[in-house]
Amino acid sequence: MNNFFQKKESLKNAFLKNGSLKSLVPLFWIFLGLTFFLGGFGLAAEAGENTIPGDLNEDGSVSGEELAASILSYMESTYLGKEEPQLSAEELSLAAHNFRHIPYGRVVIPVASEKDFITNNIWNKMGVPTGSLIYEGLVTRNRAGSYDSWLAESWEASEDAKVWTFRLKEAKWQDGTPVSSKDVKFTHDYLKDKNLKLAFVLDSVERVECPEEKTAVFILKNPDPTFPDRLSHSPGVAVFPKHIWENVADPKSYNEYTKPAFIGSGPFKYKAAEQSQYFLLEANEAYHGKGPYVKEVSRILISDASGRIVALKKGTIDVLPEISSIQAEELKKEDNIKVYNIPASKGYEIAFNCKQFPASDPLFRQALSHAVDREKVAKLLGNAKPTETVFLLPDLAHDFVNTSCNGKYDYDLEKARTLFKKSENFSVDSNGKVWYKNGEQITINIPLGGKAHLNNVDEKILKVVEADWEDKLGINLEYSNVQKDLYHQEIAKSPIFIDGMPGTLHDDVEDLNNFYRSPAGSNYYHYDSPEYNRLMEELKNSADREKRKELGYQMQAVLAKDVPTIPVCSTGTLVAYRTDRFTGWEDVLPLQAGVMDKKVLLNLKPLSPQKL
Amino acid sequence: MNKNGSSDPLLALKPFFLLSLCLLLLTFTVQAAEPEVSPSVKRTLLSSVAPSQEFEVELQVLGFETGGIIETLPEGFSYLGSSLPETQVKLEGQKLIFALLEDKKISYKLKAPASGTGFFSGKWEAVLSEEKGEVQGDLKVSVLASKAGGLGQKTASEKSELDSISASSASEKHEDKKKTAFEKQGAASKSASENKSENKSGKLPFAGPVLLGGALGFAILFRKKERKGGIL
Repeated sequence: MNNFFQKKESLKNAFLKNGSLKSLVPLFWIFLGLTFFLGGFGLAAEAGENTIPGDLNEDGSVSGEELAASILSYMESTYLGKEEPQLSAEELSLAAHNFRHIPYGRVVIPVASEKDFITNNIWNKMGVPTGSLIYEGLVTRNRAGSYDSWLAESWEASEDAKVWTFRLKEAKWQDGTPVSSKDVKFTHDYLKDKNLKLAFVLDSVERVECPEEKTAVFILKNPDPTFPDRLSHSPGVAVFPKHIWENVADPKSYNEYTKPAFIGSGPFKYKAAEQSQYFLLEANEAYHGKGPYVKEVSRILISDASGRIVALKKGTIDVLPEISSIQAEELKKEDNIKVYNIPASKGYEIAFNCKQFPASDPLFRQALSHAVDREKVAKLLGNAKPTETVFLLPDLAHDFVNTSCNGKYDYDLEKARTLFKKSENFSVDSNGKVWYKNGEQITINIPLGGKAHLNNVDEKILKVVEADWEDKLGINLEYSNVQKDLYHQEIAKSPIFIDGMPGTLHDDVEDLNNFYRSPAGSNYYHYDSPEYNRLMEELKNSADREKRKELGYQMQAVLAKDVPTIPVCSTGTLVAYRTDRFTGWEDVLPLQAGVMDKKVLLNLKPLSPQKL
Repeated sequence: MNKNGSSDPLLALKPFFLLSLCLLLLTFTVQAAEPEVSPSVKRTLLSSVAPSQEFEVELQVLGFETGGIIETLPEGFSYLGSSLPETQVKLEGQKLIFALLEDKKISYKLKAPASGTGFFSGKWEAVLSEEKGEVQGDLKVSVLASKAGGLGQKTASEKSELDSISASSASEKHEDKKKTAFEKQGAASKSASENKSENKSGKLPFAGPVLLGGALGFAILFRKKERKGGIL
């Protein structure tokens, strides 16, 4: 500890010799005082480890003055034998990399299965979602609800929101070819011509025109004021290079290990891969934006969950996303490991098929809305928050949430019984049990196997409601596990199913489209409200945010009355990371659940020397 | 065809000649733009100075921009200032330490003693690549009483060249923020910094004579071939 403070003190003296920095003296003493205070609790060493070498004022980056002070101190120590070197040669090198913003070090992130090595891509007939690290879309959405530019420098819509013009940045593909509007048009055409899955994102696009090298114009079939939302996320569409893919007749013929055509325009580029072992990306030093501080991103396969925990403890990996609450508690006890939460990553709901009796009765749906103990579910799931809204998540949708609809269906079984009694289909006996009017017991079969089946969230939700629905309301619940490919078929026959969606599908009034019955067919809930449909159509044609918000409020009021679904809770994503290797994990929350996010990885800065 | 209706073989070859010239120029331009230089530091100084003369020493940094240099100044020579901001310089007795951030050239000013000969030595470390070495170049300066008031053994043009080099401050990034030690001393320190392109263009003077030589060579070659009755 003494050594630590000696180092700080002598480096401080060197640093403060510059008169312009004397104003920092009080700050330094505050820092020193805090360090002593923490030191009393044995935490000072840990706090020191979290600082980038040479970052004397701990503002997250090494300034020229700080680096100069460290170099002078190093040279003096090394060649004049004065004091112990403040930074070793390796630490000084890391400090200089930070100052020069030259990528350094390798961040290692585990995957549970090989398919997670890289996001879906062109060769698996998918197309590239905007979540890719190698490719970029035109725009990306941020957690505040607005958009950030990726490849597009600016964009604008025509008055009727049918023509969207994007002006591209001066970006280059990773092989040096300039990115042009022709690539944007090609991406659209190729997705549709080759029938790649992500073509659905561009369904509303009639054609793309390229009036200039850096100007791409999307002509839509119908007005779409939220077109950037469609392009930006969940899954969005990334642009891929015409000159690479125009000669590939069958994208599926590509094998990512033998023919890596990973030429994107993003901040990271493909470096190497070994099947069933690792997938290595490196910093694209010619990136058009502010490039990474991290030189390499390595994904290694550790299929066993406990193996991943051990790897984090040993420091062979740097971060472990999507851990359980129990794992989080275990890891929090470790030195050099910290856990944080990415809020509102997923939303869970008890959904109704409004065409299937008894869910076709709105009173049945309203009654059951009072019979879900959301607090208890959230507690059971851990790292979850009860959802009081009718669909949108406040952490992501912000003022688009109509708060006057919140809490309308509080947990109250008596209120549930009252609503059952109001219905012509049900009766309630003196024990509070609910029956069909003809005296038959209510039995509901619930298929399990959808997105909520991951980590058995659906079973946990049912475990909570079962206690009320079966024991207190007399509704018999039966479950059946169904195969993934049959799931949609099965829920079409069942009045109730459990669903889970990414939080990003609850972040904008546009997402209320989930309940719209289009002329083309039913929605997921088989919900069909003429009033709601009319509002949705008006919303689709409204570009003004305030107008959209007002329409969204009206639609949420309709949903609160009709209850096509019971939002239950949202869950966060718990992430554990090593504090001694990279800093910046928590500074940027990804839009979606994982840490494989451009903004997150662009913000990481190495803390400890590494040899690659 | 010429005025007489006969064709001049040299004129016919003009496009080929021009193309060759372009290729040659391109070759040298590319070479100049991408120097593959291993890290080193070269010192340049006058070989002789007058007693008590103020003179400049230049350190040219090649193959790296971020690192440290420690110079051992000869006894009797006193340090007056340098082209780097004060925050990048430290003097400990006769040991002069420089911290380079993105600097390609440093110059520092010394005052000579009344007499004697001074020997310089220095070491450097490139921080990013963690390489190190000794400062190369001029090592010795003599103080010659007979040269009082005049230049040392270097010519006036050499002196002028050194002055212009020393005027280049180390980095664009820091030049506006910090007053250099030179400025503090009231010396005529210019603010212009030598950027990378200037540095790269340092190779271009070689291209001119080579191009001329190449062109001359081609012309002679064409003449000889013509006499032999054909070129290709």
